[in-house]
Amino acid sequence: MLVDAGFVALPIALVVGGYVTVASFVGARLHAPVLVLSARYGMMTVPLLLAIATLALVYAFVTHDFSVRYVAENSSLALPQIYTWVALYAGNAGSLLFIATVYSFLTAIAVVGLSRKLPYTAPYATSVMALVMAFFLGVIVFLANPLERLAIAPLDGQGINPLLIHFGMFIHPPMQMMGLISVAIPFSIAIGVLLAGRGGRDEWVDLGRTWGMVSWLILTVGLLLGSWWAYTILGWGGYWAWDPVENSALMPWLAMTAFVHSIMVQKRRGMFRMWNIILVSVAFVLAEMGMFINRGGPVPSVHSFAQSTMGWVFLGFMAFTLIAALAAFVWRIDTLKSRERLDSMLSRESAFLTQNVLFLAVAFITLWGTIYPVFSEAASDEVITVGKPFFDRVNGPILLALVFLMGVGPLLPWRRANLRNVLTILRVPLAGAAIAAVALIILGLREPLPILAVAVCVIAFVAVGHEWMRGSRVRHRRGESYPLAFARLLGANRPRYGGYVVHLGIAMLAIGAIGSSFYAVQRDFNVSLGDTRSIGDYEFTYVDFGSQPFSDRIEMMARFNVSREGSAIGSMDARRTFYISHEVGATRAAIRSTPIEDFYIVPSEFGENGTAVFRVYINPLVWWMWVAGFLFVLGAVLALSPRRRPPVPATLPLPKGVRLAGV
Amino acid sequence: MKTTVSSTLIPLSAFMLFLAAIMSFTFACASDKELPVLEARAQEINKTVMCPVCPGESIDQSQHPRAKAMRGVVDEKLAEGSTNDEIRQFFVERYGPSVLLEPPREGLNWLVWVVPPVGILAAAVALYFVLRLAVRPSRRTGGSPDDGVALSEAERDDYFLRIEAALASDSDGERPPQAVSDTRDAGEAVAG
Amino acid sequence: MLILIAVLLALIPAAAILYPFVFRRGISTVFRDETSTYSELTNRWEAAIAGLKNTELEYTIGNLTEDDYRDLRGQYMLEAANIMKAMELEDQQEDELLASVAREVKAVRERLVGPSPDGEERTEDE
Repeated sequence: MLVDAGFVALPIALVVGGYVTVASFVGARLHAPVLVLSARYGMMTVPLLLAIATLALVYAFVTHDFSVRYVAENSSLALPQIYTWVALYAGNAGSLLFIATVYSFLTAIAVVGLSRKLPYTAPYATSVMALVMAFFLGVIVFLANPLERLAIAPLDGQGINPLLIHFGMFIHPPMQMMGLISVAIPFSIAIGVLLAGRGGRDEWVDLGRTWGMVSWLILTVGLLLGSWWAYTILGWGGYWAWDPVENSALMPWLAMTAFVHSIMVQKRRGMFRMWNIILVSVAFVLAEMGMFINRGGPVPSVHSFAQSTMGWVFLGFMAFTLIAALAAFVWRIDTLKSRERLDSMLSRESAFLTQNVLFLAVAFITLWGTIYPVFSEAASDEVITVGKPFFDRVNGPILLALVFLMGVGPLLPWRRANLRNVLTILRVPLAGAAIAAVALIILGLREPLPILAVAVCVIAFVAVGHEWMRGSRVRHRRGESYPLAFARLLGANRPRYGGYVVHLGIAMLAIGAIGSSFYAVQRDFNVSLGDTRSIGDYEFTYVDFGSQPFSDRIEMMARFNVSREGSAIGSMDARRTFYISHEVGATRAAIRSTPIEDFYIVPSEFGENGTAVFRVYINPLVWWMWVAGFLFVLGAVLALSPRRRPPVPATLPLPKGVRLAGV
Repeated sequence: MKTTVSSTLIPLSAFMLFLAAIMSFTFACASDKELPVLEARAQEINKTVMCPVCPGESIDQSQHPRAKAMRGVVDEKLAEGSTNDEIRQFFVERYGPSVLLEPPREGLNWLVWVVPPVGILAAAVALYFVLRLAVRPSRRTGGSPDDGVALSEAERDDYFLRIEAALASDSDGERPPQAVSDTRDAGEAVAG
Repeated sequence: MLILIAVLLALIPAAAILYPFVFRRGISTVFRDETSTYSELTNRWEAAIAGLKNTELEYTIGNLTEDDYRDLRGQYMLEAANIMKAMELEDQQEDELLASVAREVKAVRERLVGPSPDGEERTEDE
């Protein structure tokens, strides 16, 4: 019965979404407050309806109700209960429901904030949010209903894709999907502002920035978790393959990173008004692509859900979004004049604009490489592949340039930078970079590219550290102890230094990527039980093999005793599980991770008589990439933390003994 | 006394930390893990050839039997003395150009390589001109805002006093704007 | 059975949607305009103050030269002062508007009722 309730809740939610879209907009245009309120309240009931639908689906999974098609396709009697959570969004229909449900909660929060802070714009923004909601619900109801029933209930389900049986799957896809759909919120606010004719005003920028940063943070965490999952379970020793699905998650992140910077310029100077609207619209269209590319886009990838006509429906909605946003933009273009003008070609503002261009360049190139095979096939009937080597080669330099800009940019003051002064301050970071490069060469590294890349990262590290030192030193001279001076410095300038913390995280991520990309070592070994092999400073002995059959799979385990430079560090287990019905093998690499390097063993195959082939990797510095994630969260929280607003002029007291002129 | 000690101690320890980080980096990355030449070459080739039946994966990363077979072919051919390119060409002849993960730089595919750098160059040029044109012409006028609100001298001084007082009381610890000579970290900024 | 569930569920959003048509609470605040001359002035004020503080910071840490510092500080102070003046003018205009409305109301009342005997003040401003 709960399943029936859930099934019915979906079309009801769709109708509500449609109503809110129309009523909110019409109410705003016709100045009918009752309609606007009615729409607002209606929007707030959608989370409840979708929660019921989601609960219904969970219930169906938990009770193994295989009459529900989605449950039959994504679970089985053998599936451990806890993986119900994963099964919820493992398939097409379920993930759409998940997205819609999460989105409904986000919009409810957004609507509350909008009604309070931007009451005039709120109905327009709500209308846009509701339109997106109605789209998703429409697709769910008409094309991919997770609560749809089968005519005949099978006795057992098909089970879940084995690659998803990993604890990373508990959090990566939800985060990723939440990140992608969350881009709709700042987008809706921006379009709402346009529709309301308030594009030339900046009252929306606070809320736009907040939601932009929240969305950015979720996207960042989602991407990082996805890389971590790929690293630990896909078993190829890497974390980023420029796979079309990965790319489609990366592109909105690139646009949002650009947005959270350029929105600052609008806040401070009332500039970049047009640009920000374009940027957030591009970000949302890219996010749509990210959500849709799983569902039958014409590009193959490691994890596609289905090849179906749904892909064309989504493509259509993307086109609609693009055209509608453009139309709104053009309609209100004369309201979007900047309040102030650029003071100097060398300034923080121009650095932000340059950064934006570079980020969009990476996004464009990624899109180009992802889409190109389609063009090529259409144009010349020749299928070609654009894979990791292409993206590494083309995007690599631009990303490095971005890291450089990240290091140098913060040295530029707002409005106007004096070139000589900048170069003077740059002396310290550049000296650091030079010392680093020389030291690396002396210590034995020879490849120019990683040395250059490390030098650039060093610029970023040293520039931030040096500014913090300079700032702390000044405060220290006024009597604070150094730790206190540093803490107060950060506390008084949280947006700025929260951003710097994120920058440090990026530099750390880059170091990890450089180490593991250029200096990773891998070898394949043919071993029998009892053999000992060595690679680098490690020695490992294949001591045990076990094979355990289950109802739907066979789990094979290999155990190693590992030592490094003579001293034993313990035993490591690598697993390979073969799923019979899916005919797919999933690996669980044995990974020993230290800040220095990861020692990584993957079983390639198990042969007869206790022989096996293993691939062993030594991946330097990967640990730092995951640690960077904490810096991202910390920095974003710092930057988002609320600040005291400056006192309003009317309340400013007169200093004693001064009389006001005039009056 | 305390100030001078900590003011050299901190940069010094930062520098030591810096050197330690460099050395750790090198330690992590460098080692005598030299692979035999053929194996290294095999890995390089494997990472650029796609497994035809596994979407988007290289034969190096895929665990499919076909990928394994292809890796075996690579090893054989390397032992026979073929060059990297010859081996790649062999696969292209068997499976078509889509088997390479990096599009060949010939024919129409030249486009995929050319568009990015051209695009970036175009964007850089456009950016330069946008910045150039956007910079406001007047600078050294003391920045008169286009308000049209005229202020008398006395009014302006009043307001300035009130603003300064407000900044002082609202301060999060930053010293209020005063005599500029002593608050600045000028010497250190230049000397580094 | 399904229909019953559907109707029951549909009642929830229906109630929410119809609520404002029946109970007209909070209507007046729906179209409060967040943009106004005052809010724009407040935005610019906050930007000017933030600019001042930021200029201060950037000067103390050495990112700004002394010349640029004085220049920018002057610009921001002037901008802030102009905004204060503009805000006071706004307040003045509003006060004058309220005063003139009060005078008109008084005039109308006197016309209808007759002039008040001892010139009692009925000022509704402030």
